Amino acid sequence: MDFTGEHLLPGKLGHFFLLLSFVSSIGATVCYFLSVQKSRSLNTTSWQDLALVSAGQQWKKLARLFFITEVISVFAVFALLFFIISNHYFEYKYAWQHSSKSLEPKYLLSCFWEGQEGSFLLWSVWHCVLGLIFIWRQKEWEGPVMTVVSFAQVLLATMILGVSLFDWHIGSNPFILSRNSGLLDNAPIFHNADGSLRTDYLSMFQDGNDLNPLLQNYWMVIHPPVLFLGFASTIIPFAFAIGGLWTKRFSEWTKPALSWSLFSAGILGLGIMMGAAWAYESLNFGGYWAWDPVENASLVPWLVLVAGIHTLLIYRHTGNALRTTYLFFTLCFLLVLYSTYLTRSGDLQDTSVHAFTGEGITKWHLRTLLFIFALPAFTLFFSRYKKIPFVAKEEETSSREFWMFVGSLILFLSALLIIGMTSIPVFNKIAALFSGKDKLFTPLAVGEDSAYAYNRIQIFVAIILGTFTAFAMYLKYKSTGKAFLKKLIVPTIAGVLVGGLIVAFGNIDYHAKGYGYMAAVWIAVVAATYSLIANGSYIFSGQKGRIKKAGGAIGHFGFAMLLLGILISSSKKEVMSLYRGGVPAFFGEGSKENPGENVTLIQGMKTDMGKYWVTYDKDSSHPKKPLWFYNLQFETKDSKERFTLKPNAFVNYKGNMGLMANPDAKHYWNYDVFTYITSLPNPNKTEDTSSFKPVDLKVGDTTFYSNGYMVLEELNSGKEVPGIEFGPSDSIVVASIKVTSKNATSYSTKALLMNKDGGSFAYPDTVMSESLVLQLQKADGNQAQLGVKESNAILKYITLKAYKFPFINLVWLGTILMVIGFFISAIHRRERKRTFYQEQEMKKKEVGEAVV
Amino acid sequence: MKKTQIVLLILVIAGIVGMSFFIKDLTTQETFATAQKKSGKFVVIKAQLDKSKPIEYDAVKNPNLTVFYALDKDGNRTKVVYSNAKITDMERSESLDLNGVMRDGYFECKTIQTKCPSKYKDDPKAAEKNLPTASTTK
Repeated sequence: MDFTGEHLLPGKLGHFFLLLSFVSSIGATVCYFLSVQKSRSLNTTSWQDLALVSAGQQWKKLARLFFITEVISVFAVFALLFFIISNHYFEYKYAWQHSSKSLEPKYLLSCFWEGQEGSFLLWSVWHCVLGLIFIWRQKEWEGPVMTVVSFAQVLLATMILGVSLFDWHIGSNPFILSRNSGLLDNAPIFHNADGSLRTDYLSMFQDGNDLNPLLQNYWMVIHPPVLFLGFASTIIPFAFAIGGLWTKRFSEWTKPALSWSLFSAGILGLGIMMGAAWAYESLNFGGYWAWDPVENASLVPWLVLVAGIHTLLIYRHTGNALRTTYLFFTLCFLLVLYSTYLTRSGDLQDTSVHAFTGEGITKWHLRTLLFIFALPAFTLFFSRYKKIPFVAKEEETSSREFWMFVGSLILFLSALLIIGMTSIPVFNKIAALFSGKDKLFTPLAVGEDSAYAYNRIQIFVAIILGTFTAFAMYLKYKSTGKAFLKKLIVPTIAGVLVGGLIVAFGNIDYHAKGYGYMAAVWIAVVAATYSLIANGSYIFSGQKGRIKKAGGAIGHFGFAMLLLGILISSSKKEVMSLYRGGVPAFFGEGSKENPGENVTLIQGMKTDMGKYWVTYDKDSSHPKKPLWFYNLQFETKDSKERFTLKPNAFVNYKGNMGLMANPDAKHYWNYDVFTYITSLPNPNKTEDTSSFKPVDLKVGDTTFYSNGYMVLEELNSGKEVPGIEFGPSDSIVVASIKVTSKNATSYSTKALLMNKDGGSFAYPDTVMSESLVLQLQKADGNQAQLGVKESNAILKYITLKAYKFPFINLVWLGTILMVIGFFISAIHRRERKRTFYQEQEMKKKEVGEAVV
Repeated sequence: MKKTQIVLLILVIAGIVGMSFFIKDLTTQETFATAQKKSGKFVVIKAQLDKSKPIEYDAVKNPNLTVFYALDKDGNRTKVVYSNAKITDMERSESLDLNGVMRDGYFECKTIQTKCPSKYKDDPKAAEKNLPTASTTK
């Protein structure tokens, strides 16, 4: 049956390329695997082995062909899906579900990663890009590494394959048609009387479901691709490690792996912090980090990767810690897969603000992905563990590697604790399996203050890492002489001194969690300042200002700044919108109720907020969407400064009740003023039910209302109103009324009564902040009848929260510097590696010449 | 013992201490009835909004007080007092995780996690309902 208006070709092509990418990635995996197997463990130059080597070369050529096919297919799938979305072909469910015609073109890409399928596709695309670069630059390790990458591509392809085998449904096809997806089944208007689908059903699609408003933010265009590049790139260090174990060339891979892993850590760190920036700008949990499972799941692999980079550096310089490096790189990638399972299976639904649902791709599929990598990786690691070279001699306490190693262990421990705490729902699930129906087991939940549960442990990690990163750079590998240690004296004294000054005069009095915790925060501030100063001066004293070599120092400098920014912005975060209307009577004794953080602003009324007077003056709406902007005038109490913030909210979006609010912030160099809307008047409730109460007054008379009194000051009649033609019998009466509220604020109002063409029209006036409507009903000489109405319905108000974040810029600047540090090191290590190779080749030549 | 082994030992102990602090503060998922027995203790209750009763929230009177009724998984109804602004998509929620303390006659709620039909996507079922209205504009 044909349906009018459908574009079926892109979907058919898309499905073809999906299948092709699946098949060709299998081909690439098998061929790369065989190319390694054929040519490994050859030590003679016999005729037979040479034949094997050439066979291996043949397999590798074939594997490349498969991989190129795979790359082309994945890119084609990506392009076709983008074509469908950008042309609003709503006959495809993906386009209908994630986009709309009114969506700005800049957000079309975000539609991709709103869905599961697009996210996995993005991951796959990055594997392809990384694979191509790898084949181009790293020929020596192409075989083993590309075997692992291609294998990962096979598994990623199954996620979006969308094939049914018997009763098993494998993956979720992004090219599925709306009419095949069950989307239209329950909507009778799409169907004929006999239940078949109408041939013109497509013309009834007015618009798509649209992108979630929270994702309509520029960070959402750039954050997911960067984060996924970070996730995807962790496979390279992992594949190097697997390759080293597999080919039993246990140490050669460490040279090229270093710059790859540095790049990966830089990108992943950047991606995570871009997510933090998005949360800060468009989510309203009032900050950039909330120890949410989704955030933790991306942070943990990064911590382990950074630990692995440090142990790898130790190995490169001293021969120690190779086994640990293997472990960390393997775990890093497995943790990426575990995180994918946690965030995408829906198992975290209960604990996360934004865990994704397990729609389309099943939990078992994600669990399989994890185990299919974990089993062979651990088997290889443990069976070959004994063969991995190690140094029996102990590190000296004065050596750099000793402290680097301890630091790496602490990073790893920190990661373990975070992932352990995040995995409570998984633990509950496993425990429920064993407890059965007798319900002996009560599911666990994180305690009262979940952020504090993390903070009080991680604060010690911050103290230790701050201190270690400060002095370890000044130490030398193997052993540090006393003369060299002297260089450390000045930065140490300066660091502790400045840190102490910050604590002493920075008013860091965060005692909500007791004085012990406040002391820990103080020590952490000193440690971070120490690290900042020590690394800053090391760029000049240790590396003589040579930026190329100073990647490590710059990275640590950035990390210390990030740490300092986190500590200060969190411990000095200030609630500006403290509700001063008294603590509700409800909370009796034993209830440690904080004063509320929500304040209601009535339109036109000045409200006291810390340093500022804040007035909600007007609102405006987006031309195409139900998006409202609320103008808030901030004025310092000394009137020296004014600015406007425009927090916005989607109101009753897509027929859903409620609002989705986006914050707005005013940025100063040393702090941010940050506000977002928490509640708006319910439009359904604002029907005006109260009526005017008539009051007879003479000029000069006073009458009362619930919140004050009013005086009828004047009654003037006239015949001239600009723009209105008055006939001989027409007239207008203006009543001037002065309203004075209880708090002695006065308002002048003018209610009008017009007699025109035999009818009378009243033009009431309102005093918004007093919920008062005044209407002139009758006027005769100096006698008047006034209608007084008090109604909440006329009130325009918004409820909001406002915070002050001091030194939040340190967080962003620190992140940028840290990432730059990673990249400088990655480039520097590549260059150094080249010279190392050149040296080796020189040596080979020399040896060759000597033999001749 | 080697230095690294000593360090490792210290770290393992530190990890266990840190974890035990965390575990000590873990709470349990309860129903209103079992929470009543643990009155005064911080618990988590998986509940649903009782949609037959209105959610009381008047931002003008007190922007930090929301009162509503919730049904736990056994179907028991209890008044919930939440000292914050009304959660915006509460009416739409499928379930609510109420974190707080059971008091005499009401549940004092510190934080609420709402679970909506789908957090990232709009509910396809709800969207389907919208389709006919969209086409009637023709």
